[in-house]
Amino acid sequence: MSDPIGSARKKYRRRVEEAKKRAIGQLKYIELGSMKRGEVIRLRIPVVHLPHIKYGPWTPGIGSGPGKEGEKVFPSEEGSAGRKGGRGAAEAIYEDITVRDLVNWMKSELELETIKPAKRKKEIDKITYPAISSRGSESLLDLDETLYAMVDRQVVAGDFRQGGLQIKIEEEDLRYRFPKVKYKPYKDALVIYIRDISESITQADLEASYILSFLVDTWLKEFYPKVERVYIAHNDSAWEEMEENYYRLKSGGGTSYSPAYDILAAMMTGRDYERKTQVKRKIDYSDMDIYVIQMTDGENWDYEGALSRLGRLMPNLTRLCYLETHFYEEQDTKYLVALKNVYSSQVKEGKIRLCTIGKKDDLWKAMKEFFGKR
Amino acid sequence: MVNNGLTEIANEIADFCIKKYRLDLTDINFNMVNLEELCSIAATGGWIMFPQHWSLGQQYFIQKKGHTLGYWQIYEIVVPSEVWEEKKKEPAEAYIYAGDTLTDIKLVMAHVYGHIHAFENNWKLNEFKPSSPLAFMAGQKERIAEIEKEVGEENVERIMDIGYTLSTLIDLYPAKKIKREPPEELPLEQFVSSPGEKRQRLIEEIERKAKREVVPDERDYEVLKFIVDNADMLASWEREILQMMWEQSRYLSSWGLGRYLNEGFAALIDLKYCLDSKMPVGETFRWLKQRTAGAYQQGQCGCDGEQCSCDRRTLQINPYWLGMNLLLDVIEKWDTGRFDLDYEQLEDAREREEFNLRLDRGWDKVLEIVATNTDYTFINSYFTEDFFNRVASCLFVYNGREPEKGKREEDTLTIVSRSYHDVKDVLLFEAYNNGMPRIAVEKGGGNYNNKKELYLVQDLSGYDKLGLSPKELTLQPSETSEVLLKALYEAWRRPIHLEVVNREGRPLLLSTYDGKEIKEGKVEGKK
Repeated sequence: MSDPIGSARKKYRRRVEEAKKRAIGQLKYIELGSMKRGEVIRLRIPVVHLPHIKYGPWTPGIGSGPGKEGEKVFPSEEGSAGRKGGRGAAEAIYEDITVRDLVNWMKSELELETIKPAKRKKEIDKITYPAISSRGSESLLDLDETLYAMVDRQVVAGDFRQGGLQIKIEEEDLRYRFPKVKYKPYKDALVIYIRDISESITQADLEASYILSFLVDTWLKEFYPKVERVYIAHNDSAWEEMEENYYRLKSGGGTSYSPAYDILAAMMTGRDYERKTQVKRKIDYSDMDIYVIQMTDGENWDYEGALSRLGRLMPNLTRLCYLETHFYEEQDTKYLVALKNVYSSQVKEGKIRLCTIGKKDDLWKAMKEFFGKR
Repeated sequence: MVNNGLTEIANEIADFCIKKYRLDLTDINFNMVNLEELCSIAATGGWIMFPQHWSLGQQYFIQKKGHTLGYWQIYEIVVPSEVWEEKKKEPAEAYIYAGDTLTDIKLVMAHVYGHIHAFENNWKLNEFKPSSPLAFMAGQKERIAEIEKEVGEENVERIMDIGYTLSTLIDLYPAKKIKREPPEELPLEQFVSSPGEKRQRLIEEIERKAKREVVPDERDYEVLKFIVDNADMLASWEREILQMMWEQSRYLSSWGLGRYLNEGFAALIDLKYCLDSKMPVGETFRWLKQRTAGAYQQGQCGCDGEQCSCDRRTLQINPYWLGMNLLLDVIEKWDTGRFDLDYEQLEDAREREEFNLRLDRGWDKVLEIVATNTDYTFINSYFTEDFFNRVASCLFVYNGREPEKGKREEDTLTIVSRSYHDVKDVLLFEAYNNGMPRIAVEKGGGNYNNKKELYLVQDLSGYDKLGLSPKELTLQPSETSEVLLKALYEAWRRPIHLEVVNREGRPLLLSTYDGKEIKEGKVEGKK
């Protein structure tokens, strides 16, 4: 039997997708946060009844059941519960919003740029030996295959006698494994989150950074086979923090960017630095695409020092995304303006991306600024 | 693939029904379908080929969910289909859920035969029937798919939404008989005219335009058809789609006029078959138990399926239950002869009890009723006080108020009356025009203000006989203004005026000039 509602189902599907898109644009902070924690957001899409003209509720109707005149048809508590069950089946359908949908939405609606990971220099990923050859280097000699070849030769030549196998390997019997080398095609991504934990950071700033890191991770994971993350926290001093504790740090102290940049430089060069992680990190900048996401509320006091340190780091970075949040405090965009002036060419070509947001809902705007088309 | 065993059973049952109950049957294709297919067929209402609208996809989800969660269960779907020509009869299509037990399938087959008999013989169900319903729907589907390719899906969807919204504005009781006239051939002279004639015709045309044109010349209840014929802002494809929606909705909503009769008769047939055929006792008992448990009980809860296990108060009556019991009552009366004045005038209870003329005309009467009645006449004639007291005393009349903000409408509903006359009146009211308001184009309302504005009026005549005042027939304000007037404006594309009554019972004029804002005004003196 042919499908009687083949294209109608597709049309309805399209409507559901549209509803989903609309819902993703309006996702709340808490929902995105729960999404980061791996929960699936369930979206309720109400059933649309095709409207008709009809009489009002005052028009009499007919029903059946017990009861006297003047009684309510559905007494408030017990009656409604039973009926709700029956009606609820046909009132809405439910759809899950997954991370996959989020990525699709960012692609289609937010129109973010697709990232092309940089090509790696020839680095061996894996070596396999799928074939056997009669020539090769001594280290690849395969003894089993050599013995088989020897027996074969003896049988063909008529030297093989039952009972006694003479092991007599000649030069033509030698067999070598033939290597096949697989190279790693693309670079991995390394995301360095630099978060300001100075006195002026509020809960809203923290939430913003929490969600932004989720969005950035989601987006980069789409294009890189492996995304590594480094968390650097700073106030007057800076240190590398573990992922679990990064968003639980209490705020306090002043704001200075240069220690954070120092730590980054130390990671690149291999010097020792202050850290709360177990292992000292060494970043091989020729091997990775390095994204620096710096989240702060401004008010940096030694911006000249920070700028000079950043100047030394800059050639090794793939992209620097600088987010300033101004939710409550008055605006202090000194550092941002300085960045704009000093690195004007890089800002233009999109290597450095700057964004300020005034309210929580602008995070999509920040995302678009950081990874959108130029 | 033909299942020989089931075909044999079907033939057996058909022979039995034809011989015993004198049913008039066409050929029937029984399709055994799985759940997936059943739900998608239920979404279209039984048509394999149906104009593709997004709501069908939604309906499929609802059906599937309701079925799998056990809120309701569909046994069968029937579609009548035939061509009124010799040797070219098309079989009707029936879809049966293959997951049922054999007993269920047997009884459902008998049920299907009941439906087919009603579809074949009832005059109202045949009134708007196209010559071949399946081909009619298939043609619509293909044509709409063609238009979709030309003008794009969104445009077609928009017009179809409007069409579905306006689909209740049709005349189910046409005063004129429907005739299918062949298109008139224009005489050749009409195309050949002298210059003098041409000028004369131009002058006539200008004069006619200058004069106030009266369209239509009397009240027209076919509002949708009137819009299709007279709206001059519609593109040809829009006109075509609306015309199709009109034809379709007129045919499908005419089924609602024979709902109690059709469903009741089918239920009666399968009850009789269950008792008359020699099925094993256990199966008969199981089926009867199932009937008393839900499928044929008076209450049908909010879900629109056929089986449900609520025994609370419900707002809908099960058409199977009411129709079947009315017909059973008729059989008893006409078998014993208790329909006459002789019986009515008896006063002694014992004599009334023992009154029996042994006429045995009950089944004749049932077949006659099925052929000649609609729900309205059926209830009007056979829903007697005696029947009400014996069987249907559980029915009540309710009404509600406008709910307060944030509360549901259902919570305001109260039981108003349990008396026989009120119940019967409201039953008749719901059977008339499918319980929908009747809206008509007023005489000359197609050219209101001489600006081709549309003037509609809610027809309230006749409802006073059912004890309903205009106050109670007020339309739902939000539906009227937001849904109806906007859809009308999008179809007519000129200002719309709708004369309705307000909650005090006074006439009120709603007008829209741009399709967005709706103004209320007073009705001027009638022209």
